[in-house]
Amino acid sequence: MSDAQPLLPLEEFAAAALPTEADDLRDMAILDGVPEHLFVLMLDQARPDVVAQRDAIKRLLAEGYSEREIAAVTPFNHAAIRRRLNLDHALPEILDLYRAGGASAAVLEQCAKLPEAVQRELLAVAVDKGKLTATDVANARKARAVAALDGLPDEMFAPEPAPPPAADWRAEVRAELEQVARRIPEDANDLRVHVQRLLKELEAIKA
Amino acid sequence: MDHHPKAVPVPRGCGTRKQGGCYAECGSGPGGRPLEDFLICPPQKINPAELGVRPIGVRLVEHQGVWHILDWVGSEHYPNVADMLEEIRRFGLSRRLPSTLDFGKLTEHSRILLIHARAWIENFGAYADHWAAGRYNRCPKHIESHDLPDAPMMCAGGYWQDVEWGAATADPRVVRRGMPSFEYVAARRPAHITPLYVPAIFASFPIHRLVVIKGRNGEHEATQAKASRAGLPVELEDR
Repeated sequence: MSDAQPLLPLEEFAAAALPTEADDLRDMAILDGVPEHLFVLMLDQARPDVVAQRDAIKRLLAEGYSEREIAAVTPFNHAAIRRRLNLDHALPEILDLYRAGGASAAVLEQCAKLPEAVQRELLAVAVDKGKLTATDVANARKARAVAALDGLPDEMFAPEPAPPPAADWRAEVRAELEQVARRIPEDANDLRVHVQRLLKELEAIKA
Repeated sequence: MDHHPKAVPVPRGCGTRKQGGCYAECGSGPGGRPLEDFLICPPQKINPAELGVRPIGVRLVEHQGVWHILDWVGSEHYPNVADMLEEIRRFGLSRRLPSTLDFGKLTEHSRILLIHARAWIENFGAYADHWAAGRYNRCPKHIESHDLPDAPMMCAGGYWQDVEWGAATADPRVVRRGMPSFEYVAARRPAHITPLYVPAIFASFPIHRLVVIKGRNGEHEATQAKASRAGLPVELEDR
């Protein structure tokens, strides 16, 4: 906007846009100086062309209006505005497909989130089938996720190493009993015999 | 008597365990392996959109016939990667799983892979030039090439050189970082560095058991029934 034509608040345009008949609305708005692009957005329910909506939002932004101002007077909240703007990432051929009725708005939005290479693969699908469906996009995304996963190193998925073989508890107990036997004084004969008996029983278990 | 290593149910960075919630645990205890064994160094950069993961939450992925959990650790509760790792070092891993998860896909071979938005530092070389004495003299996994004067692309040791929200100490680089149940010492980021972060997988843990937290009004029953489809031990705990 130039200095000579200060930016008018969008709320004023919205207030002027109360009549219900679309044509009247357009005429009145033009007479009141409402940007035509704003109309595309305000008539969203009647004309749900997401590409036209994107173009209208971009024109308004180029004229100096903010996303917040646009959200305040149109049916589009911030997230919806961002989704429309994200359509810039869709290949022109996919935009054409949408406008020709070969893809829904939802499919178009999902395509716009995919890398160009994947979009080209989807275009090839559309050429074969004459249209592009949500299932096609879901399959492409799934294939992409599988490829990304396959690219990760195997080591991070590797199972835990097998635990070391458990030590033979009998050997450990025998060693400790032998140590005990060595520490028993000679005059404690009963106790020495008892420990020796335990050692023999331990040997029997091993056998 | 069960033999599954258990995580310690203390208040964590993400809070306390919720009644009726299901948690994947990698326990800790005597005879266990050190935390460093489970680090992925260098970490594995990812494209979240390609893998279908979002900045918080979990996703099941299949790799060579085994299903694993990709778990994005939220920066809101664990702004530093080291926050999560030091918590696991002390108390074991305990991560909430959504009750909508297809538990039947989990087996004893499943692993939980942790993702953090800051796990890869694109300009890690700048940190390597200003390494502060601390827990690690470069690589936690003792990868020799990471200890050379020429910095690698990225090393997990950088997590302890990039800690925010720590309390100051006498050393201008050293901070004491407080978490709900413990604190640890690490180095803050050198003042002149602006980090360039990329999401990455930074650790991979086995899952020892699933824990369902008892609810006073039976909130746990439905979750327990779902979790019991997993090929893992499922145990009910009070907290």
